[in-house]
Amino acid sequence: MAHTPRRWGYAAMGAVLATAVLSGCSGGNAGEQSDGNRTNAGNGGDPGGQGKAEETRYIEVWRNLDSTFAIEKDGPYSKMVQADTGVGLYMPFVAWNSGSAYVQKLNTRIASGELPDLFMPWQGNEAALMKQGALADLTELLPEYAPHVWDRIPQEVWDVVRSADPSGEGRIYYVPLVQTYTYYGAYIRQDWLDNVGMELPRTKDEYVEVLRAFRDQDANGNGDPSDEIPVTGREQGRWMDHLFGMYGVAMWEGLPMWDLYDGELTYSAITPNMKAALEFAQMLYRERLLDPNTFLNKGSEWTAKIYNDKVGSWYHINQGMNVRIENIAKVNPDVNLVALGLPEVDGYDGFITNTQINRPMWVIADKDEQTTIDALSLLEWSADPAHAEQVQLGVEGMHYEVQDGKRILLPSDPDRQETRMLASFITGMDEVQLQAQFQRDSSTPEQLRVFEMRDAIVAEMQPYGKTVAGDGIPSSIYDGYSDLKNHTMYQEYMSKIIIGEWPIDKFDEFVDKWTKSGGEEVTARARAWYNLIGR
Amino acid sequence: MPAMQASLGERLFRLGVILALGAFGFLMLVPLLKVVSTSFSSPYAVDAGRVFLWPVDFTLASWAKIVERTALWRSFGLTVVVTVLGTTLCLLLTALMAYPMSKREFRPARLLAVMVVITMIFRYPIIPYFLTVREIGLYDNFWVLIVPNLLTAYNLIIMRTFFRELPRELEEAAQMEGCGYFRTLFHLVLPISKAVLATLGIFYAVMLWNQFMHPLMFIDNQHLYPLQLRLREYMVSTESTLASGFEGSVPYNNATLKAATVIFATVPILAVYPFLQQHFVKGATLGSVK
Amino acid sequence: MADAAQARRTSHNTAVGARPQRQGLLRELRNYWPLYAMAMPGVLFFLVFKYVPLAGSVIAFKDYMIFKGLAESPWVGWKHFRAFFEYPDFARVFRNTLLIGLYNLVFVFPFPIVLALLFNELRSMAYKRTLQTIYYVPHFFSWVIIAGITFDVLSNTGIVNALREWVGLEPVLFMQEERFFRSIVVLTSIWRDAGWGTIVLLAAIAGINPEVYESALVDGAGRIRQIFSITLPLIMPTVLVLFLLQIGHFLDLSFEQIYNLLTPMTYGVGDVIDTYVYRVGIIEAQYSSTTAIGLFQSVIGLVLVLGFNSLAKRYQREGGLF
Repeated sequence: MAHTPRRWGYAAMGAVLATAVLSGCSGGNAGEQSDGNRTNAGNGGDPGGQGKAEETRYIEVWRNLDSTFAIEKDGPYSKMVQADTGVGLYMPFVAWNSGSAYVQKLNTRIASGELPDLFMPWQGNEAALMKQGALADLTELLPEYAPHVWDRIPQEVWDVVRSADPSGEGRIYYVPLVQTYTYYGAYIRQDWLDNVGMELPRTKDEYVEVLRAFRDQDANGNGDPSDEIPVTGREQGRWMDHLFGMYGVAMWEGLPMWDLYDGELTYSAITPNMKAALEFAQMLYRERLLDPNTFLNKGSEWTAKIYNDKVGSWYHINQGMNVRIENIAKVNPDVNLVALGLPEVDGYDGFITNTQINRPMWVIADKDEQTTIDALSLLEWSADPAHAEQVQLGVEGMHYEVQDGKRILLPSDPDRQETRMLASFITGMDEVQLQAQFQRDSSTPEQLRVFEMRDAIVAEMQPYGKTVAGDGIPSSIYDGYSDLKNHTMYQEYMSKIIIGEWPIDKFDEFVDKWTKSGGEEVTARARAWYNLIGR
Repeated sequence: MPAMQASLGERLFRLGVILALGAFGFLMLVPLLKVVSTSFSSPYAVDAGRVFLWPVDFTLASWAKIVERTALWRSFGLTVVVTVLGTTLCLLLTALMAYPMSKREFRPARLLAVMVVITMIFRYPIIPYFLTVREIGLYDNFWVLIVPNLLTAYNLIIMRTFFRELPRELEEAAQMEGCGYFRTLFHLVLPISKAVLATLGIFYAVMLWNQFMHPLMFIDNQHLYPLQLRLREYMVSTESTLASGFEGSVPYNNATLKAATVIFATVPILAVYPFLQQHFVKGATLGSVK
Repeated sequence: MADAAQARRTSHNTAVGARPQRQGLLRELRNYWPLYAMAMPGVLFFLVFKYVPLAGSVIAFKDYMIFKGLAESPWVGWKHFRAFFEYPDFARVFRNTLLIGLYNLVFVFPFPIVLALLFNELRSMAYKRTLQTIYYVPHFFSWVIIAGITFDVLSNTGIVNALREWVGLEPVLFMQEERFFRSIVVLTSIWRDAGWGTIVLLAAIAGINPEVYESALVDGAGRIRQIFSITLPLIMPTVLVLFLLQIGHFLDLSFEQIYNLLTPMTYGVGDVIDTYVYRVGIIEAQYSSTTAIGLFQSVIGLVLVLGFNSLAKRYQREGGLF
């Protein structure tokens, strides 16, 4: 008898569970949710916009908000875009948190069948969405409604985009973030070179000699000959790509890329080039030419070392160098930073890895044709050179002011500024130079010197870039092999070899292990993809 | 106790305890000092890595920015309301469930304990959870900040354990006098359980104050943004997520502002504990019934 | 275990002496309806907010497609479990998880108990309260901040290496050497959470009847003996429950902590199930695989809890979790 209440309890629990599960899960069905969808979209906007909803159509756009709140339906940015396109845009506040919060929130919206109209996919989630039929097919509509997007992006990039269609029919489901110029570069302190009486190094051996001089002499002139770090990088071997690039290793922010080796598309981490580069880096580390703390440097420590006038040479984003120079100048006003280029190594063709297709930038939810057309018209607005200034500068009075005919950028202020949602996603040297022009226009004489130094670096690094053969390779080649996708195995071997804990011979073990734990399959998929796009 | 004379060994023991706890206490303050001093330093000194436990180039600039931010204050107010109201409701519900579970004559007590512990060991997948809560109608609703947090298995089991340790005679005496279960709980048991109520009060309050996932998933309306979600605005890192734009062109340093915001969001909840400590006095349980 | 429950009931019955052995549901409800009523809101809460979503764990056996929904996602059986067990580094990840879990139980778990007992020895109320407050401060800082400070202090220019240099030793890069990793995990856990962990124990100590101490004093028991013969035994039921609650999470370590302390050079000793799940799941949004691995961790946790719970009941018949 003692069991009765218990059994009764289980039965009740079962009943509640069953009904609740059924109702709970129906939320995943897109068809049933259209009501909720509409009310929700209404909530997102401001209440005053209700009457106007008849005339103006609004597109819900999601991307990373850099330090701002929600984008209001009739906020200044949306108004600016509306004036040109007749279509407004809005976005609820979505925390970014290195992308993890964004993806979480996006996925919950997708699971309830309420996708934003136009959004930035993150961490490859566009692949799953394509497979599940959640995204609008842009193949026909894009050339018609976004001709500038269509024309400005090279055909070979569209070929890559088409290769991502899981059905194999070559439809276009996303708009990529495109860069047609060399984004990264290596730098060296010209003032340090002057202090140690040496020339800009052109070859690997000259570079090593310079680094030794930086190590042994008081290159920064602060009276301490031993506080110089000749060259530095960051944890997980990031931001030291030039040491690899010199040996022809395709390397993107510390992550090995796919490129042609012996005429075949290959993961650059398993090539003889990589072995040679590792041997070189190991030597630099052993001789304390490479920062001993490299693999423990967080971004902040790395930055601190550079700002404190301790680092002679490093690798980063060319356009950001003005900030570095400005800060170093506070410690050492004589700072003179120049492009290092890429020192030559006998027997290797060095290059800096360019990826024209940075990643998928925009996808449109498959709702109805009008929504797709409206979303495309927003992208068209962003890509049309006629709007270049608005796209780059933002809203007058919020992002910039006009003083004496010059446009002065306002300091960022999360309380008042809205994110420039439709920032340019196709950038070539034209856009870079236009940006630089705005910056120089609104700068003081001291700042001008910094910007000129930066612009020289940007220009001088251009010839070293090469678009790698594996540009835009879909991440789906790694399906089922997450450790290969995340470069986990590479990073472990690479860092342990460079710090000298493992001998260089271990590299062969790595190649073997990588190949056996999925690398073979991944390589086959990668080469099949390469044949498909027929480069 | 003063009547007893402590031996030399005991006095040395106590002295050792006093000194050791004091010395290690300093280590405990390191994170706080680091963040506080960062918030009062110039962004440049922070970027140059010169700030550790003491402010460098003292400035109130970051704090001035925080004070100016009305949205932050609004979130602060909301979070206070959520925490106070939520903690009260949490304690009430926890006590209500823990009490029967501590009763030997309550047959389903064991079943309930099993059921509760299972929810602690097995974690629900996030998407089904989202859909369930949304189905109940809590999406973008103030109550989503409180209702799904009302009970945690951990706190419930702890309260039940404390209730079980209460002297049985007390309650039996009360029931002899004709008190029902409700009266016994509210007039006898809870008043002598201040220590555990204070403890769980802190646990719940901290949980509610620090909640991030719930608002992240369920709140769109920015008037319902609690503090922790607001804070993330400063945690943005744009490096290599954006190809273009003017990032870096106008130095807008996050590190000091971030530190000030962390302090702004942490100190209020940190300050709760000292006020509750009086309930941890030895014998607090029985003192009040005697 | 059913016996124990029966025994408990019987012992109560003899105490109150008013309850016949056999009675129907109706009478049970009539006598004890207030208890049922009290428990009802909580039970509902657990059903709705925990059990319903928990039923969604079936996605571990499906290829869950978030847009199409649960119903349309195909069944795949044990595929995701198999993928986990066939992961080439499964042995390493599992071993590391077990070891760190064990270290947590052996070194981290007892620390708050020791600390609480020591706090209890302090006579000055003001000093005691100040210290308690100070000790619980680090808990409020995220692992990103705590790990950041750890990296700072242990870097080649950090305080520890400065001290080593001062006494003529070579600097050591602690964070990139495998032999230090687990100790660092243990020490940072203690640093951040030991003070926080004392709160519930101090509440338990506060519950001890002062008369017990007074009679011990009369017996001439010294402070140290009082700790071992009075305080510790009397907070033991609470400690046991805390232990059982902790062991249920034996395999899920603090992800934020490990992730923020880990470097590729320490994968060999520090790559654990949760960091693996992060790589597979969070980065790739593979809800099915992460749910499958989570189920695996939970089942192990459940087995441990059941095992240790019955052991605990041997020690204390009415103690334990259930």
